[in-house]
Amino acid sequence: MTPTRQVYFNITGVWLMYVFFALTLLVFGYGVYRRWRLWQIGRPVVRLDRLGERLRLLFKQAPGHEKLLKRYSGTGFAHLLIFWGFVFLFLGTVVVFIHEDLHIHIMQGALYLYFESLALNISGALCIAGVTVALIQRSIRRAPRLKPDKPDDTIILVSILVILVTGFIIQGLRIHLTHDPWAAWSPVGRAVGMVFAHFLSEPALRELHRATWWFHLIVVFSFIGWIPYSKLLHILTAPASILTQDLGPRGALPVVDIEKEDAPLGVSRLQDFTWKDLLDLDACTECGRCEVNCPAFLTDKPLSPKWLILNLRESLHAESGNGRGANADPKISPAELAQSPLVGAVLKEETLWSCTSCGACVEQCPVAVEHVSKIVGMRRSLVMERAEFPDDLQNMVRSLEARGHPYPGVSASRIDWMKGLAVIQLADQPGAEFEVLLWVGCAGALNQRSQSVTRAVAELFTKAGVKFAVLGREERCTGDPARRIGHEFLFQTLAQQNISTLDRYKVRKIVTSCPHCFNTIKNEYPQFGGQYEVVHHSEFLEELVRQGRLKPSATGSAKVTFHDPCYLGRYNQVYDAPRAVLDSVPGVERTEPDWNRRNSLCCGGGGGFSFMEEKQGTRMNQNRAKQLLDTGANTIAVGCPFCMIMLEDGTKTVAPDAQVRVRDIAEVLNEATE
Amino acid sequence: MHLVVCIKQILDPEIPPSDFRLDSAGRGPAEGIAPQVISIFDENALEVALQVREAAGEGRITAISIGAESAVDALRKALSMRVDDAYLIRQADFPALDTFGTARILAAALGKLPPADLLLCGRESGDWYGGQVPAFLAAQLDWPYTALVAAIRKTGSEWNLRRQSDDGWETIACSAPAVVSVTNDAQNLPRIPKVRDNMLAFRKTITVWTAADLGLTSESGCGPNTRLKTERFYIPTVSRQCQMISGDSVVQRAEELVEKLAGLRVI
Ligand code: SF4
Ligand code: SF4
Repeated sequence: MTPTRQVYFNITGVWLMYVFFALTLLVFGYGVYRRWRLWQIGRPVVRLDRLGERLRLLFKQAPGHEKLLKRYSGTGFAHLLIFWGFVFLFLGTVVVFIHEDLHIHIMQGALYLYFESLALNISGALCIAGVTVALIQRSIRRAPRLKPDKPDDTIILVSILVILVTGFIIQGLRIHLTHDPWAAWSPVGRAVGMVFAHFLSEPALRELHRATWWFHLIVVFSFIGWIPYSKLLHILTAPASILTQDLGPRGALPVVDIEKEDAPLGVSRLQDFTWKDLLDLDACTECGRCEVNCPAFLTDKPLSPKWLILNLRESLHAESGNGRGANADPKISPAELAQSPLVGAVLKEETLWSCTSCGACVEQCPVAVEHVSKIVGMRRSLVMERAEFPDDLQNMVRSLEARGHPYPGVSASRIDWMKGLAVIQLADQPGAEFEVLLWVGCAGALNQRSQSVTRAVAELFTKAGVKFAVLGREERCTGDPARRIGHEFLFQTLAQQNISTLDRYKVRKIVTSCPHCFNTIKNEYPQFGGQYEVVHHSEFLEELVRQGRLKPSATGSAKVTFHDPCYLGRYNQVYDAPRAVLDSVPGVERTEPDWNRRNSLCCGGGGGFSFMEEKQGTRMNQNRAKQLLDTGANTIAVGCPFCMIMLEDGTKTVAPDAQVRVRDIAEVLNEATE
Repeated sequence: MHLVVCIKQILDPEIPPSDFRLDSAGRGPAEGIAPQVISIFDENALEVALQVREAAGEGRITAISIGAESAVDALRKALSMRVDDAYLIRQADFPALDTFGTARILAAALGKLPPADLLLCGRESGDWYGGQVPAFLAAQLDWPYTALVAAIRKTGSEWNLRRQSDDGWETIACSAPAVVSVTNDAQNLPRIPKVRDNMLAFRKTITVWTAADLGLTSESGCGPNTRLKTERFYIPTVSRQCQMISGDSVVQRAEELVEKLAGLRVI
């Protein structure tokens, strides 16, 4: 006898199921259409090219829940169980459909036993475990990141539980009533059947089976119909969002065509976003992972990346004030919300000016929501269309416009740092031969503390016999601070000036000790035709050590912890090189802060904050300094001039008496190298 | 309503000391390395003019500058702040320009423009800090002059000029035409132009006037007849001297220190 089972055992009037199902599909389809139409108001953007690569990414990220498991792995694992339960049960249903409706009898033999019975039993049971954990998390542990915690969230979990439990009851009763010879392959179902059989008579079991079958069916269909009207929509939008994520370098912001006459500069209304931005709003699962790594949120700034997305979503749906967040102005009615410009009505200006553009939110988000480009998009409108932005940043912009550097009032010139060192300036020696161009950066040249880092780098290059040159007075700000605050016009002007200078001197390889310069030249200058090989000094120094051109020797002992700069780590995935440089120094004992690498916490210096007073909440630099001090290290190593300034200040304030030094990796290496 | 604002392009006052050079004649700073900017008080004057027009809801603003070709950038900046017209007077036509000459040239230029209600200048230039041009201009034009104005309001046919005085605010009423010099104030911080205005500014024409256009000669800038001469222009050398205070007791040392400081007139 071939192992299989009767599909509609004990059920009459199956046609009714098809009627219900058609209705469900209508409701579902209409719901999806309504959302789809909303995404369509966005601007076009190409996100369906390189489909192979996209599918590979989707299959790399979704099935293993890569990002969900990296933080909050408990709940992440629970979701993994639910996800796979859904996948298996869906496939199981497809098998039934093929078998019964297409009359291709596949639900038999090994497939029936191993997959349709055993695998579905196990995954169903695991799925129940997953849902239970999630319910506990939501109703008992009540993690703040899961707010607003609407009744919907619990109803969803309970309905999944109901569907699974009734499924097992139906199976168990059928097994018992039909004396199923293959019962052993469905252990959970069989056990449930045995329990019921213990208490009820056979006719009662039959009645119960029929009733449960229809009940199960109605719950399942309602659930499917509800998907596009609830958070369940993420079953569709999450994979869609992951599939259509930005494949370009993470550190490159999208280009604005400044010359276009009538195009809006930046985002002031929902339709100025791209369709992917709007899809993101519906993809967000409210998991709160973005929020817990956000330096602004952690220090009580009026910004939560999660609420930013949810507030925008709300205005997209212009629904009732359901779960309106901290960022929104409660005085504005939902109807007005749909009509009004985003900034001011949906989001406060301070919300946008609280972001350091550290990218932690994007890194953490399991469904590829792109927060930073949205924030910068809205800043662009404020800065370029309305010319309304914080005074400190206005001063920075004036300085960039007039002098090409963001430090109003500094008295240093770009070449002061090199006093006493033999450095080739290309303006003086345009024909000089050089291996690499040292991009000094505005901080490296003009900030007193950073000047000694630049000197250390130059000294190391000399010790290693590297032929290097600098642009000197001809160097301009890369434009990173301008671009991050939304002044795309100024950014493009500076970028073009620098690119033409670099090309004039036929520069091919650039080394810089500033991750912001590094990121901009490497990832953003190609948008304007500037193609160079760009490396961070950590990578370059690591290479020199490996080649034996630098031989650090012991200088006593130091307990060192490294702080990952956002624009080196998260934006460019350079995590190992700076650590390797430190490890190459004898006597260095390295410890890791709890939050490191991709989970590193921003020092608070990015996105314009180095040029702006932090007016609200507690200080971001102190927050990070505490984490670093907790490692017990006596040296905090950095690889970024802004981290240096922020953390020096932070450690001094948090622990004024601690004998802790903040030093660049180049300084540590230089001191140990003859 | 027609407001005319005189602006001057100067060497960036924030030039790093190590970048500062003298010109070959040793009569002034060398140009080239440091950027050029609009003199700061002139920017305040522009801002005040823009605010007056905004409050009135109508009016034209003209910016004029005597300068080198590079001063086009300063005028362009004024245009991007939404000034209506911009004129550059070729400084090369007037060698050895002094403050009398500057006022004479500006007055001549004013004669070629539609009648102005107010002529606004920064209270002094950010490079030489002479502060003479607005007063000389008023004398040339025979108009009333009010200095150090922070804000202007028009009420009927009268102009209210608000100045900060030692013990509060002072409002002066005057009738047009008049010359006003503007000082910096929290309310007249120059605005950042909108990017679109920035780009539009590049499409506007800046009219260049020569000495002949204004019916002047090269002598009008003063030339050989100047009553103002730069004798010497130099970078002071800073030197440090270290003196040890001897004295046997603390009291003696303290007394000696006080004596020395008093001798240096620091206490
Ligand atoms: S980029 Fe950083 S500061 Fe900005 S919202 Fe994201 S996590 Fe917060
Ligand atoms: S944006 Fe992403 S990380 Fe943030 S709550 Fe939504 S799904 Fe979670």
